[in-house]
Amino acid sequence: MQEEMRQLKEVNKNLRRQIRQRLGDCLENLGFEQLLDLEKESQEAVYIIRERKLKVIGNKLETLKKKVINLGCT
Amino acid sequence: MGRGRVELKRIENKINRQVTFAKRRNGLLKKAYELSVLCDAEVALIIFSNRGKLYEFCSSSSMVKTLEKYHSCSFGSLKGTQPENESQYNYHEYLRLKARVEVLQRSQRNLLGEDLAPLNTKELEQLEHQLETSLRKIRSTKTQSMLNQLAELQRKEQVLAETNKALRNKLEENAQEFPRQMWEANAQTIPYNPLPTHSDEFFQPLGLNTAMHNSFNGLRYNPIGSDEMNVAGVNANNHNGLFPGWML
Repeated sequence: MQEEMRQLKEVNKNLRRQIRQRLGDCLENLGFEQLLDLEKESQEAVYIIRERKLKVIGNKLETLKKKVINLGCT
Repeated sequence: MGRGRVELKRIENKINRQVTFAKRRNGLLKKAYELSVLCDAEVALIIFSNRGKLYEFCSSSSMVKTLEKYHSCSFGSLKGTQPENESQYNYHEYLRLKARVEVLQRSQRNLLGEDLAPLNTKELEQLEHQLETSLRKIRSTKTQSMLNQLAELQRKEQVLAETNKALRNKLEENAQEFPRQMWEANAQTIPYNPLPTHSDEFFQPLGLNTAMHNSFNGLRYNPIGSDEMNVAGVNANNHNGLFPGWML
């Protein structure tokens, strides 16, 4: 149990550090190569998220359009 | 079973509540018994009805015995003694930490563009905005780092260029000191004549002091080499006279 606690704390610490970096903080500790990797990952994530967002909004639009048509208010 | 969807809250209707209690109580006692038999587990079940009536089941010979076992087990203790309190506190801490880690892991995955399904439009928008801001910071840090590297390399280039220039000047001075005929006549075994000692200062910026001296001193021209040297020596394009262009 003690060991698990210690490991959990370690995982906690690492995760917080990583998340901070992904949010653009504490970048000084990163080497140049790592900085490039981080940029690439973040860029790709932005693409994915934007796509997902547009899809969700698009679906909502479609659903509402159909509802409006069904209500006969074209 | 499953005929009607039951909402999980207190049954308002008194009779339904009583009936349900009886049915489910029996079912639960039966399950406890089955569990203890099927899986060889020591199972104890305690139920107090709404009015306070006790219903119990125990797989072992004595409920008291099983309860004692329960008491001596750290996390389940009802007693208020110090070590047991601490264990319970630790356990709660552990659970809290575990929950926090799970939240962090979820955030991390979101920042990677994973597990986006539960997020609504607003949350997706926020996430996108967060990442865009962070990308700006990452890129500006990157650019700054590259500019620093560039400045460093430019500085090095300048130092090396100056060193080269100084070396070249020194060699030209020495070339004028040595007559050209002597160079060609002794083509077979010309050892490299070391530059005057104060040339050390030219080698220092590069930190090659001894190393360079040794490598030059080690040069002995064989016939093949010297032919090339001769050719180079008489070559009008050779500004230096002492060393052919390819050696600089």
